[in-house]
Amino acid sequence: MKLVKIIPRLFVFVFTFCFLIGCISDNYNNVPPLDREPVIEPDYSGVTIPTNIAPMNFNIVEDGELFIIRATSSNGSGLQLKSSDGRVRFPMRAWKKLLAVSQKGKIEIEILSEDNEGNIIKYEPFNMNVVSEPVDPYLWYRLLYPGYESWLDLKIVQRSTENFKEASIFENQLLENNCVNCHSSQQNNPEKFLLHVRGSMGGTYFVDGKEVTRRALQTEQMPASAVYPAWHPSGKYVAFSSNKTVQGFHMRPEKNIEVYDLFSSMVIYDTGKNEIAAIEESDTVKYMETFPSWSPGGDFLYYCRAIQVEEGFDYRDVKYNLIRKSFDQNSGVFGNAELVFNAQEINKSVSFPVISPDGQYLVLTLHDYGTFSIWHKEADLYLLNLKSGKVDRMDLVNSDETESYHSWSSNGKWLVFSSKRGNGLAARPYFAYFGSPENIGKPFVLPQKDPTLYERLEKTFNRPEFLTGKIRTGPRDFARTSKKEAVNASWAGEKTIIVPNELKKQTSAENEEKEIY
Amino acid sequence: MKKKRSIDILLDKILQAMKMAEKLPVRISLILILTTSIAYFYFYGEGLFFFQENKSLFIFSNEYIQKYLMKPGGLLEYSGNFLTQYYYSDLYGSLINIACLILVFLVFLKTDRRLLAGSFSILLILVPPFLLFFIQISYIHSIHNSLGYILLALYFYFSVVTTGRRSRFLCLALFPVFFYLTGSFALVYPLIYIVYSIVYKKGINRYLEPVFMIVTTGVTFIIFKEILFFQPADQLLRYPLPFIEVLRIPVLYNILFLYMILFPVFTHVSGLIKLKAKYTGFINLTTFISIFAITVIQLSKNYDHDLANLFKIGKSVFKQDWNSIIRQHETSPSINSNGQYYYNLALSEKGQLCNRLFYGRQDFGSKSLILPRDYAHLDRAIYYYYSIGLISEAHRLAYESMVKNGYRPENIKMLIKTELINGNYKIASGYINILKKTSHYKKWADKYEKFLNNPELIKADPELGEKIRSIPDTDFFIMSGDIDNIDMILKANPDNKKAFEYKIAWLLFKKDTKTVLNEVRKMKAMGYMNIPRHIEEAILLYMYFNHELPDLGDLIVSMDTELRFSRYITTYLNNSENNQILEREMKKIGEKTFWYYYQFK
Repeated sequence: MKLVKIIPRLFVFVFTFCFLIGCISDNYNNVPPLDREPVIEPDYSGVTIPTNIAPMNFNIVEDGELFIIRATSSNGSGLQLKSSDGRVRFPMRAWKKLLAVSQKGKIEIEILSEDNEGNIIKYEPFNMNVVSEPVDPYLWYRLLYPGYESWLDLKIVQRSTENFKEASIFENQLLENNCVNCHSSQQNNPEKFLLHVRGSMGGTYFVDGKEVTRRALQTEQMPASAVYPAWHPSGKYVAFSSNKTVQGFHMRPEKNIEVYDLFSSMVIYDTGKNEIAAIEESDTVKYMETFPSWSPGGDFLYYCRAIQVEEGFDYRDVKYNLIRKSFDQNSGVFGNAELVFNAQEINKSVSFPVISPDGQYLVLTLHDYGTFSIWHKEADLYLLNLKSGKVDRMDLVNSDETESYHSWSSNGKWLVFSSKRGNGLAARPYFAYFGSPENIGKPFVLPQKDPTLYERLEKTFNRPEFLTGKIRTGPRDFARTSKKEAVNASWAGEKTIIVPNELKKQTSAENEEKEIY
Repeated sequence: MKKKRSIDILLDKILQAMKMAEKLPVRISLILILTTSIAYFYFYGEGLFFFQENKSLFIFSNEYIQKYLMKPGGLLEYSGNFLTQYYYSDLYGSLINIACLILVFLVFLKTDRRLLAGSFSILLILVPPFLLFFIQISYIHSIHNSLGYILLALYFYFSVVTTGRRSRFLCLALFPVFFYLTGSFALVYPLIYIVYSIVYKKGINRYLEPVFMIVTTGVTFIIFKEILFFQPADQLLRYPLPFIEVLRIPVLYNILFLYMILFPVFTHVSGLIKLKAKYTGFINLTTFISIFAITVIQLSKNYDHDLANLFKIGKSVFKQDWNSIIRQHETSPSINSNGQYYYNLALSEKGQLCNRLFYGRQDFGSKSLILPRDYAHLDRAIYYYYSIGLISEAHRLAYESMVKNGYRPENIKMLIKTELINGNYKIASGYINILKKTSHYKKWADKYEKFLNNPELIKADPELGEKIRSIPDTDFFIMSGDIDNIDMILKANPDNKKAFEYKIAWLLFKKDTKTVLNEVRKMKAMGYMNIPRHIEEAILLYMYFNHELPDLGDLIVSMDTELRFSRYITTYLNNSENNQILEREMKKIGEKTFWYYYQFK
């Protein structure tokens, strides 16, 4: 057929199509709305989002052959999309424009659906509140199967919060499939961070700018390795808890795993001198201490503490309180322990205390007992006002499933936390706006390019933390460093860390048991 | 002049027909390959296909293919998984494997013809498909390895047929693409090409092209390792070949690689030898007979009947055809601990563990009751825990299998069942959706999909409902000691007959009749109306040695067992002087009894 005949016909077809669509669109305006919002996944209805977030793509879980989605800002500008499969993917540029004009306002999302018989349903619109405070541009987390003992394909990933770009920082396949855990940056700084590697290439890998060093922090005086880290704001020190951890697998369906410590203590590592020392406890009562966390000024070290367990203990009786010690940065001396929050009194246990950058608030995880909250369905986030000492449950943030690990953005306006509200097994990173204790936004899950990804992704997002910039170190940097010998830290303390006698027997018996995998 | 004998004339005719470069030898070669491979794969390959089909699950999804796109050789494995997913049909599996052998033969035929076909061509061409045949009948083999060899041979063929310097260099320059597609198979190509160049090329190309090849290979390897992909060097060197330890690849694979590398030398030498047609025919005939004879001898020698038996039993386990397993082991017993484990599992599922335990061969004692929870036994150990009601442990092991081995039909099915039993419908739904994206398991997924969010339907299901009822009422942590776990589950659920009979079976294997007796008094309360056969046997044996009347909790030993025991003792007393006769006579009268096991095992 000659081109001269095709072009006009094509023009007519396109014109007719557009005209019809226009007609259809006009028809939609006359449809009375339903008295409910559409069911969408993830649930982004009523959430509070930052001005720089990636497109909040979602999936419409309603019947329909065609969906029309209109996103309108308070000033009237907006965009319109169509979807035949229910997946709503906002174009990046259009989304960014919409966000820019919606600051301190709302984006209203209206959805219409049409079935194959031409029936149109118009759902009640829902809103996304847009605040002017941006969220940190990057998030990093460990991606792994939320499993029991085995691991394969472990990686630490950084993901832009402003778009969908994602890159590996660490890939364990380059380090003989060793385990990696407890990544931690110094005050969200992408240039200064550490992570632990367990296995043949084991050690604590410190990154400082372009330099990556491998250090062995466990000395003879320490019965267990350095585990949970907390960078001092100055970057000069890192507080660790040194934990002997075991896990038990439940046989009832209500619970999966219980991870608990047989003993744990606090140590402080001087990054410049490569020295590690115990943080002494003057109390005659023996404690297990874990989850260190510094105040923003570095003058207090907060941590969780429980009475040391003895042989034959019941793991359900172990309750951790929130403690702090003052710290003199010049002398490196700690003060006495002060009780900050007595969780035991209310028959609960505390984990993961983290203080806001302005030093006014502390978010902690509260659960029925023990230390490893990610496997506790009842674990929720609570807000402690450090001035008044009042502790409140963060109702809007919590769900019926686990809420656990959390961290603050550098501007103190956003919280990211792990939540298993999706399917009860794999944790996803949720963002919650924190304007004040009375002004906390409904949280939203990290948006994905494909909004149905979370339905299929079996892996869990572990220890999500914000970063103020992009990490430049990559998997090959760690691989190269792993080939070098680890630099051993030296013990600077006066005393060896004592392991309770009963537990020495228990732990050595466990060490003799045949390894399952 | 002497007249030729008629037999000589016939022989001459045959040998003339067998001469090289004619169609008949090629046809006969193909027939040889076809008959040998059909005979083996179709009639003996059932276990092989079953095993390989269950090693992986092919999913029609973007996420699934993404995993393979991210590494060199991934697409090769992906293709192999695609082909393997239909191995539930033995006919299909046979055809695929046969097709691979034919393809290899044809590629080598074409290559040989292109190079310098000689008197030994048929021999040279037949060696690769028969080597590949022996590779393919190994259980550790995956079809993607066959595809790797075919592509390797094809790439070499194309570089041989390409004329013109530019085209040749272009062909070599495509090496990075070839490396990406085939992974470590590609690394053999430069060696083949170097040998080919040295043997066949003349002038400067003899050295220039190998140098170009070496440089291209080196640069490609470095770029892949340092820039494009995250695989470490040893993975780039060996994936997707099977390996036993780091960089150790099974011998036959290496032999075939070496053969391919030296193939240009072989063809060159063969081409230089100019023989008369009838001698070429003689060589061809000898080749056919030798290869056929060697193949048959090797197959007869190396065919592992017990392994084939084990896979047949495994198939029945997956179908939950317990009767078939019991029948098979009692008529054609497995000498493998896993086979005996499956037999015991089948007995347990039919409620016959303590009635028929010694009807089948038992060589491993309690080790064939409960398998270790280590990587080697992971996929099998799951069924025991599922059987006795430790659903969370069955789930955990299935999950570990999924993490370590990837998706497999049985681990995903177990995850679905255990999640449904435990009431985790959202998670179960995720696994069901995985199976719905397969070709063979969609129906199974559809069947189980109806259980989602329907606890009443689950409770009413004969299998799932029974498992729900057997979950321990009180919680405990799984322990490393297997009997400790049984004790815990019996403490939580005293009526759990399956767990109880496993405990008794364990005690019988330990020959601990005293403890068996202590357990018997609980049986009436558990709902037993009769004492299972082997427990009766243990009771009588205990009474015989200890002259005690035990408390059987209102149950009695049957008259039939008492009579059998009386006969057993009589036979024993009559033959006790001569050990050789004793065992023979006791076997005749009581091989299927606990008494015989106690006395002779």
